[in-house]
Amino acid sequence: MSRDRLFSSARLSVAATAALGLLLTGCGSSGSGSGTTTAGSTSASSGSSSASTSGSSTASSSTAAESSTLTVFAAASLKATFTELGETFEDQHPGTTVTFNFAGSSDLVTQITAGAPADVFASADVNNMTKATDADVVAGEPVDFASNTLTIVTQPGNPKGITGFADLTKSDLQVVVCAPQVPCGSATEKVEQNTGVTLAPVSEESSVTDVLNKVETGQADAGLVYVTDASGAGDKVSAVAFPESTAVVNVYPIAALTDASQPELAREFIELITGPDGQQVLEGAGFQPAP
Amino acid sequence: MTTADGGAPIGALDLAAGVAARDVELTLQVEPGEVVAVLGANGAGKSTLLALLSGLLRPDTGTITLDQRVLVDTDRGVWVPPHRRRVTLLAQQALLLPHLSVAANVAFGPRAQGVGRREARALADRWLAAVDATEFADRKPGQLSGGQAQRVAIARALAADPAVLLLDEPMAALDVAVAPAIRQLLRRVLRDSGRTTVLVTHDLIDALSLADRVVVLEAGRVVESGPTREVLSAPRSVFAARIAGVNLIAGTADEHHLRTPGGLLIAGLLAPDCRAGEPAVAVFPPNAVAVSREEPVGSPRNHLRVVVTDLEPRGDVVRVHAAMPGGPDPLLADITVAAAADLGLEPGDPVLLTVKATGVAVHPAT
Amino acid sequence: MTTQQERRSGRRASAARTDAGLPGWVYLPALIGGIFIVLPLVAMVARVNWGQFWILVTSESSVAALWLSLKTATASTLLCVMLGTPMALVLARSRFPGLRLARSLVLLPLVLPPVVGGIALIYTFGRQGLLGGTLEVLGIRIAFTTAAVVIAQTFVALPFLVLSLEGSLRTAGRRYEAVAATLGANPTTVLRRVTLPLVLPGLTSGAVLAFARALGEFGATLTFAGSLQGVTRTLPLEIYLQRETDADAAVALSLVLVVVAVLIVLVTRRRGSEGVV
Repeated sequence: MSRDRLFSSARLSVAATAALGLLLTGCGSSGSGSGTTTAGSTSASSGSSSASTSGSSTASSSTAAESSTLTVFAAASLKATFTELGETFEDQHPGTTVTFNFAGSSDLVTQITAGAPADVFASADVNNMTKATDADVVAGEPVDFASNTLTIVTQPGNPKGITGFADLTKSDLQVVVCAPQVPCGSATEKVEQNTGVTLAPVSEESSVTDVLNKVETGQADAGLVYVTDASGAGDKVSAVAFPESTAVVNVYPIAALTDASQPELAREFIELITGPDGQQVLEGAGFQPAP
Repeated sequence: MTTADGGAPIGALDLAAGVAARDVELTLQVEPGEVVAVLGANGAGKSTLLALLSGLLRPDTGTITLDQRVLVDTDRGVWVPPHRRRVTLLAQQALLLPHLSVAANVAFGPRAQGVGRREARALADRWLAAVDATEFADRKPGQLSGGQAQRVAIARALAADPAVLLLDEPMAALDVAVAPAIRQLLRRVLRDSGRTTVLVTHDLIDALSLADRVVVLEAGRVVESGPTREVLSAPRSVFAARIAGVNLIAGTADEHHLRTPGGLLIAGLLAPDCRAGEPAVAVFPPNAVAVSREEPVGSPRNHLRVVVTDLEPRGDVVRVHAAMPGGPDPLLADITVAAAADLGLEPGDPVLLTVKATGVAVHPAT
Repeated sequence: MTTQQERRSGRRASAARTDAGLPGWVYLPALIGGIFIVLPLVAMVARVNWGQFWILVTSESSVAALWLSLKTATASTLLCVMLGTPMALVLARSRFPGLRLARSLVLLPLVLPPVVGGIALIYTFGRQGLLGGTLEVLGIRIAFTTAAVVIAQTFVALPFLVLSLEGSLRTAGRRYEAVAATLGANPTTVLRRVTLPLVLPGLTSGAVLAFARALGEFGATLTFAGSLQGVTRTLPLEIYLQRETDADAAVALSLVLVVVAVLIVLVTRRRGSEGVV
């Protein structure tokens, strides 16, 4: 009787944990394209939730010689490039699986400081990396590996004839930007300060994806996003570069973490990103080299 | 429209309507001011009749007229909705609107018909006084007992000044201790207001004390209609007989007998309007029936071979329920407790019922 | 009728404290479920920075967000009542071919992820949407206005009101309405003086559910309305944004949202249950 009860309660708590996990992943994915993905097809066994990631990394430490897993927490804007480079890394290190968790940088910092198992952290801005170093979770010095600048995006073909940053203040335009609290928004704010042009946006979105989406769906006439986001959107938007953007550069730092279970692999991964192969892929996606 | 006193009497009702889905085909005429009791078993069509009259159900075929007004004519596509009929329904449950005070409930009908607030309240007070419920005026229905609520419901129904009042077993949900007072109240207000009333009931006493005329329904048809006392003293339908507490056997009349479909001859006193070969019924009370195990000898008596189905103690007597083989209609016999003990009756026993011919009345069936 | 009897017998049973054979093991998952709901709230309260709490929740952006949330949720609740009451009446009281389908469609926003609702609304009321062109010609712009927030909230909250009210209408039955009609009340009078007063508790609880759902609306608003302080940035959007830079502010605002929701539920629940008796 008591054993039955114990057994059923154990099963229930397992189910509850699973349900909780579903809820968390379901909630986290609102717009910013977060979620954990693994690079390459060899990693099918490593599952897709962060819970199983921790399980497999523990398991891998006992059989480190045959197979090991490198866990990388990276900003959502790095999804395409890092997924590609992860495959490159796996090719160069047979038996190694690279698991990614792509999310907003501030979410990633929160997760890392809360004890999420990760080997590498690649942030979309210096601020969030500073938060991580302040929390003493970063091993060594972070390295800047890429930079990004803002661009104007409009509906395809630029129907409103926008030619520069100052055009965005035209009264018949609906302009959408990022809120100052997120990196792309603080970059926008700096451009405004530098140029002395104050925008009157109809919306301050909490992620660059939401800005892009408002322009793509025709809700807004123009938006300010990163060059990489504009190139990722293909022909669904037109990008209008403006010279003032070069003065405000958003820098991407990367660092190994103190709790890394694979410190050696972490170092090698950072080398790949900062080396010629990594830089070539990043450049192809519209990133600029770190200043 | 004229009022009950003064001009032409109102409330002449004429219904001939069918509802295919319920296998109901009814006809009913009611004179102005007449109180008609509708009797019948469950499912006989009583509720359907009230629903047709009140307008809560549309017939597939037929017409309903109230005085000179056509309420329903399926051929001509005439349909008067419930609220424009002046036909008011009083149900088993009082169904007082729980969110309104007692006075507001009674004033509901006049208000809905456009009477001013003050006048409606005065009407409500008058009708509450008429049912001895003045003291409840400011209460909420939830604070009333079942009998009090039904008094108020009667006042509410009459305050709406209906041309026809429909009563759907108004005493059925009440305590046996309360029912007589409500019945007496209904008797008084119905007689005072002279309102055409259709009363659906299971209860013989309702029919006897309230109704001028009785209509019996069976399987969706009217099978019997006539003045209350006449129908109950000389029932022609099984249901009326059961309500009257008498035995009834149906068949055809001959010179001195009733011949059942099974070929049995029952001797009795034939009513003058009985014609040989015509449908007729034999009626006799349970206390005219003797029960024995063997065939007795003697005078012209009717012997019926039956099987006991039930024994029901009723004070000094035991009522024996019995059935003729092949005859679905139960027969009743009242015998003394001592006789029952001597016979040692048990359900399932075959016995012989004996009735003197002088105890049997044979009269024509419709 | 049946439910009334059941309710009455249930009340009697609880009054007599007779435990009619509820298996003991049921309490365990029930307890786990209760903890599952309460524990995250407790954990959140434990993380509140009480020293800064008042400053955080009275900041200009927080007050603007709270005020906007209360305004828009009230407006969308009114819209839900105005549109949802007739919908519930039609679903509960009328018969027409396709009624089942209509009922399923009404419930659709309930099962739709809010982001999907937002996308659907963009393609309806957006500038290039189904009605967007017509509205533009009329000089009505919905995108990025407070009206867009109200539309998004109404879209997701409407089924709550319709469901709750339709249930009440079915439970209340039609007997009172029939009696009122035979007393001479026309259908409008019956609706106004009989039906609606009888289902008022159901209407109230439906409106509360709709209000709570509107207050918590996030996905559809984010997708459809945008986010601008005082115009479209409701409390949930403010919380989501604050989280980027100031976790303490996000937690403090979350607590405010929880407290507002609990207060509303408590106040109306009490009033609603009085109405039932």
